[in-house]
Amino acid sequence: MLVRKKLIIGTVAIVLLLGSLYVLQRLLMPKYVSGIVEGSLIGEYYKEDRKDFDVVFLGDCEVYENFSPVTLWEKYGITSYIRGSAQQLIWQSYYLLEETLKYEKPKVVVYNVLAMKYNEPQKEEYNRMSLDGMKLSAIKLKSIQASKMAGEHVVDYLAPLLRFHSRWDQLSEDDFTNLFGKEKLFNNGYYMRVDVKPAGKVPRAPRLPDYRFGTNAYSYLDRLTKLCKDNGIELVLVKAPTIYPNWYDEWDTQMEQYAAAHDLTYINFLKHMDDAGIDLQTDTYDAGLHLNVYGAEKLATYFGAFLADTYRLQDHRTDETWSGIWQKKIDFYDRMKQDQLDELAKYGYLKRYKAET
Amino acid sequence: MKKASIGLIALLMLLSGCGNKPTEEGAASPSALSQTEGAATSPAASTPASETPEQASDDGFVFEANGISIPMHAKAAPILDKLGKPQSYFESQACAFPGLNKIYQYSSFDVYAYEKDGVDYIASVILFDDTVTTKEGVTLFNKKSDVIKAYGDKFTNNLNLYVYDQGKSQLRFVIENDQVTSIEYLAKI
Repeated sequence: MLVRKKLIIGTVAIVLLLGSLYVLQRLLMPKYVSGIVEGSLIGEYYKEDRKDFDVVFLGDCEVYENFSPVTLWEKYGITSYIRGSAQQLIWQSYYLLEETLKYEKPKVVVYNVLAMKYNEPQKEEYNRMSLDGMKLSAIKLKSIQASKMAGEHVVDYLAPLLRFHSRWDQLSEDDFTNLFGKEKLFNNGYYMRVDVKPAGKVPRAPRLPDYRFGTNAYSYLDRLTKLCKDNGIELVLVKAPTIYPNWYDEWDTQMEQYAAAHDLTYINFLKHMDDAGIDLQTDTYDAGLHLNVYGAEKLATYFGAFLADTYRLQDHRTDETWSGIWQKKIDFYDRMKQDQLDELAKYGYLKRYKAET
Repeated sequence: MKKASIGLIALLMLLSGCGNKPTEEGAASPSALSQTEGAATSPAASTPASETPEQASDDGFVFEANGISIPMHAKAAPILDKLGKPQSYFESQACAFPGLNKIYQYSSFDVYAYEKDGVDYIASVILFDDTVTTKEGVTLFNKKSDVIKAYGDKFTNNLNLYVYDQGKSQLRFVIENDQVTSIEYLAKI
């Protein structure tokens, strides 16, 4: 009887302790719900009820700020999701695709190639935005292993409490109101901005010591290519039409050669801006680094025609289930657009994103 | 059971006192030569809070243009005032990071500034033609031997990149076929 009582007390104590640690970790982790919201991108994917998308985008801000999935749906009936994150490195893209394949098998994967210029991990803060939102799995472990900075350990990412325990004095209202769940912030992984800041003259591109992409970056591109081929997925390499940081001709040539050697399509949208109707006087919110919603809609319209024709993607707009799902997405998209326009009219900038300049 | 509880309590105590974020002090900020997304050209995000950028600028490399000294990590405003109106100006917000990186283009060089606590500091200077020289007399299109004569042989080398460290700054030369093709002053994190 005494042993049983001790066992119960011990079990309750452990459950309480583990529960406290869990709540503490949730409280102390950055929430990414205002200002720097990009840290919420990766985690939002899991909330999708239906994940059998036609097209999945992978890459850095050049995907999640430049293509509008809602436009792909509205114009072509293409279902798509952007699994992008800030400065997503190619090994992170690769492992995200591995993980995505646990949920779905898209017909087309679109990978933006800007991150090929990085051959090794760059910055913990960016790593966090790609890794912390991933669900715990062996794939996440592999991505952490490939991404951790010198001096970091896998456990730092597996148990974020270890890393963020000292955040207690920086806690804000956001940390408490978003303790067990966050509001939806993105449109199928697309980060919307309605503001406009015309592009001017971009800085001169300095000469580089070496224009060749690194062997590590290439090895993950090889793995991405193989993973797609093994799963019958069409891989499309793209370079988004943003003018800074500079995309060197030498880099472009390497991607052209890679695509040709591996029977892939590579589209450098910088060469198709006129065809897409993109005008960087009106279609960018930060002087040419990223497109705003008007540019993202134009690019999706242009790219969507290619995707629909080339890969014979089915128009799902007559599918009642999909139509119902996407109508809710369109409503959310339109509301967000209107909210941002209202905020812009009221403050002259997007207060939510602390976009005052 | 008791042991497990003690272990978990010990873990909790450990968590409350350990593991500050590893700093990147001592590493060079990513070069403007690599033109990484916004924040990467800015040491601001990683500069230790206790150390002001001005303090860090004292003993590093200094570029001089028309008699105007441009030390790394120095406050940008007085220097930019002296340099006069640039030919063009570009600013970029880092992806997912606060603060702006600002680039001022003059005829022969570009000045990069980073923002910290609302103040701009010099992050980098890149030379674009041979009408400007380093303080020690090296210009674009000089030979590798000219660089070594001016700065010695204590450099680190990776492919075509030759890097000299001094204080909180670096001087970086790209040398191709025995010819200097790029010169960059860089503020170290």
